[in-house]
Amino acid sequence: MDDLLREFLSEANESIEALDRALVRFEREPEDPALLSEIFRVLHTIKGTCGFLGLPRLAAVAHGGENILGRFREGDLRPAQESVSAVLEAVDVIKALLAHLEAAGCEPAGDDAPLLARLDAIADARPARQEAAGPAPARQEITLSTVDCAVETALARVKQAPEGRRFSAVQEDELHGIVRDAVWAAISGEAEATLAEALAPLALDRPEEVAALATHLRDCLAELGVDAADARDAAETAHGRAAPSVPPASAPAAGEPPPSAVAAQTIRVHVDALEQLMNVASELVLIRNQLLQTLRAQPESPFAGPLQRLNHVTTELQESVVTTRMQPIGAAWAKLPRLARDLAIELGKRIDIEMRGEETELDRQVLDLIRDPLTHMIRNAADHGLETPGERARAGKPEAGRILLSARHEGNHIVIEVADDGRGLACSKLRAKGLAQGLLTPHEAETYSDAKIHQLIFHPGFSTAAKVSGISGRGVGMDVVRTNIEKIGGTVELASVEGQGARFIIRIPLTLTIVSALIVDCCGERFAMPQSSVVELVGVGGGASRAIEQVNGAPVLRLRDRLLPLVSLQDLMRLAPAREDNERSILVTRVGSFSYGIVVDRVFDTEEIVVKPTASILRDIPYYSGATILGDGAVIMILDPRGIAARIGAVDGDDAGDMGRNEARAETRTQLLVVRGAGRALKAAPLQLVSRIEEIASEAVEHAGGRPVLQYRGRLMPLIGIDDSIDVARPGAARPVLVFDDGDRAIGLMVEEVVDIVEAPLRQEFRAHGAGGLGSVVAAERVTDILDLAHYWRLAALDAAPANPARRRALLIDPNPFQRNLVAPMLAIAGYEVSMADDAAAAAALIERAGAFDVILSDAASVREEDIPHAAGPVVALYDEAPAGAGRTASRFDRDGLLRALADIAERSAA
Amino acid sequence: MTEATLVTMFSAGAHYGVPVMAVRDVLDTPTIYPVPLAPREIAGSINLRGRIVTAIDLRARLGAPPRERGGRCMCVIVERQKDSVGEPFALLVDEIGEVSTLPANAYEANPVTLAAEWAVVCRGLYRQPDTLLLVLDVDALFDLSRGAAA
Repeated sequence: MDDLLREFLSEANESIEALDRALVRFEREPEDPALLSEIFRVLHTIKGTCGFLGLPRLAAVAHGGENILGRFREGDLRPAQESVSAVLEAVDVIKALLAHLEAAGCEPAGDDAPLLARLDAIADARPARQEAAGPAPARQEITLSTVDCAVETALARVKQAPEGRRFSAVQEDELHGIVRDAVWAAISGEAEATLAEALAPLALDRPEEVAALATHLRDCLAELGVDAADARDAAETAHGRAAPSVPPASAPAAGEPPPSAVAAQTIRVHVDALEQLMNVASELVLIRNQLLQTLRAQPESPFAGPLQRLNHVTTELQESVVTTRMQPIGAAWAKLPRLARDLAIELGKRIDIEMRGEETELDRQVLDLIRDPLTHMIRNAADHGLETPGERARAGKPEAGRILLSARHEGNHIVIEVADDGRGLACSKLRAKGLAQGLLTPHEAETYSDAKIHQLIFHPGFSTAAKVSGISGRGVGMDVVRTNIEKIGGTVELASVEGQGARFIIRIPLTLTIVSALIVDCCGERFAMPQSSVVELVGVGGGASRAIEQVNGAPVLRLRDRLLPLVSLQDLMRLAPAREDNERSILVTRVGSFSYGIVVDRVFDTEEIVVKPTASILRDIPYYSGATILGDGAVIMILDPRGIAARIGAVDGDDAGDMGRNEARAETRTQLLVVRGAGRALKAAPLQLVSRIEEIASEAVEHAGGRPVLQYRGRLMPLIGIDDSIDVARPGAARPVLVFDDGDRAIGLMVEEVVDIVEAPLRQEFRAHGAGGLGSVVAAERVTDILDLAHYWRLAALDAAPANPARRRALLIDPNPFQRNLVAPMLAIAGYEVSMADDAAAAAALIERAGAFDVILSDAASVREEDIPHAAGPVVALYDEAPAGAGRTASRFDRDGLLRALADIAERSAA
Repeated sequence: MTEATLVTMFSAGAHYGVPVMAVRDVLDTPTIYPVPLAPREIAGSINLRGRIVTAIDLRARLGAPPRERGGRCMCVIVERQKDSVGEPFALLVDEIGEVSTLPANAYEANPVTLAAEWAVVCRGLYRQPDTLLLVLDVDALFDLSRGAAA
């Protein structure tokens, strides 16, 4: 393949991509003339170049498309779906032809007559000003190559002339193209593109050249046997219009730079060349560092000055080289609007695609690799996710479905989100399907959380689509997406609320980019730790005041009244200890909402490192995110904070993500305030139930009626020890008191120490032992009792009913006694008489016996609302975390929210 | 297997060959930076003019006793094609031999008695006057899941 063709291909492919996008936009905003001109120009250039390179099929199709665009431009054809589709189809054929051209080096044999006929038919739909021009006007034996030949000769002659020097400054190819297109347009009778217009930027500079060019052109065309009249017309059009279009003497002040000047700003460079450049630059950095090291030994060296300059230049060079490889992610998105449009038409849906953060840059290699997964996800969103306009209207959503693509940098990752506001993932269907396909046991199907069930869609061969469509639903989808993303060291997370849509969060490392990292030493091995995840550094042992403590064998660090779990890098990496002393550094690391510490021997300093991907053979080790070369030439591994966090069980390795703000995870995890009483045993309360934490000194404790009380915010608050062995009045240092407040009344629970705030699932459950406990959970690898607040309210003798003669009745339906016991006290405190039922059937029986309730609270995960007898009372669905704005719901851990929901219902029933 | 041009090398007394087209570079006793937790066969990483190359010790790969520490070793850089992306690997051997073209009639398939962990990484051998030259399958060599060394 010759260079010319290759260049044409790469250019054409690029512009075709832009074309797709522009056309889709154009269909919506047909009033934008600039857009249309842009589209027209691209197609026109392709057509022109094809003719030049002798590619008749491409030229013909491009011409057909261009004809329609011409009608749009003249305003005698309105852009409608049909006509735009036809143009898009032409673009598709062009793409196919280009692909073949790229593969085989020649146009494939074939006939585009049907498409051309259709294009022409559309173009002719309204009486046009002139006969439809075929791909090659038959009235003369003029071909593009004839014109080419003439243009070439004419240009050569102009250049030879003394005044023609100006032209040589402009890129010759470009000039050639412009002139050729213009002449061709003039000859084939297309009014829209005139030589004068095309040459305007040049004519601005020197009108004489244009005039001379026109004269030469006429001569050349005549010599080549082109009809003299036509030739003269062409030349004269050019000449005639060139002259008046020259603004007198305003040339230097002309605002817009000529297009050729813009084009000259960029050149094409092969990626391999950049890669090579990058490696050479890295090598140069190493040599520079060696020189600097030598210099340190001989500060008087005459090379000091030049070396410092070399130092700066090298750094600058390295930075520039890195930036050359970055591309905005918009390049990978260019095809998506077109895709969404086609899908919308095919599926009979309305789809708006919105993009944010298109300018976010990432390495172009990564860019290429995420193209396909993204395309697939858009297909999925359009096919599975979004509903038909009818369904959407019934669900109270706008008819047009929305797909939002966004990208942003987060640490050394790029985070891409694909979100739709469609029907979301139907967990019940997923469960059934998973069961049917044997991916889940019946027990798993029942007990797995929604987030875990969502993960099924990443399973190979799993498909939820009721019917297989041409677009998706064949079960070769999300697993491939996930595999592809993981191949480049990325992760995919999924959050979905049924009925409200789904959101995929893709995190991809910005490979081969410069990252700021801490270089640490552990047992003589050096590692790099991305600085973005390190919150602070803490020194322990030796002269430092802090020390590592052990909790049941697990190392922890007290850090500002919180306990930080620690990981020893030495243990993690199975290194042989190299030092006797106990002086260590701790990297306080944050992954999502979880913090932990990594114990290392020493922290050297911060260095800008070039991240290189881990060798494929080492990717099984989860603790590395890459490797890098240090200034002294050493190769060291880059630690992956997420991988290490997953190791200590804080984040599931599988879907490790910043789940703190992720619905999928939040429903299974609850923030617990972990405290310690007089003994070693830990107790915890859901953080959302705790109003405040106060430090209370014993002097502040008073007694009223033989009970310890505290003057707190203008009222008396009973003070209770969290267990019997706490002496509330014991003199000494102030101790923490947890304040539980329900608006009118408050109690204070005195504890020995506030240990930590952890996130733990409130699922695991052990029998309660002793008063004051609801049962135990495992929080941060320790068994922790959950406080039974109702018990303490009773102790405070405040559990008597408020002065409300007609007690309101509440029914709580939840198969999980643990959850029931969490919610029931809140209801009781709010003045409800609480009845409880395990499931809908038991509830129905109860309702039959006891009549309707003022309010029914049902566990959303296990009880279907339609199973509850209709007239039994208003139903509130209880979630771990209630989805926003979806009917009458509440979160069982959000006391205030729950009480608000109850108050709301009470108000309505009173009205 | 027909006539082949191989780069020959020695490791733990045995004679091996790798197709010359697969070899990118040969280094004499490069600095090898260990990678904690890496599989036993991986000696570490090498800085090859700014590229990070993972080094596999042929001795460890084929279950031979380790080389004496700090001794001389040669390093053959081989490009492995996977998913149409070339990834360089380094193969640590005791000694490098020469580039020699071997006639087709000297070729033998792997003897059936060859140990399984060797058989997966050898693509037959060439009879030499004084030794037998085993042809290494580069792809198999760097796929540690294949033929786990005893």
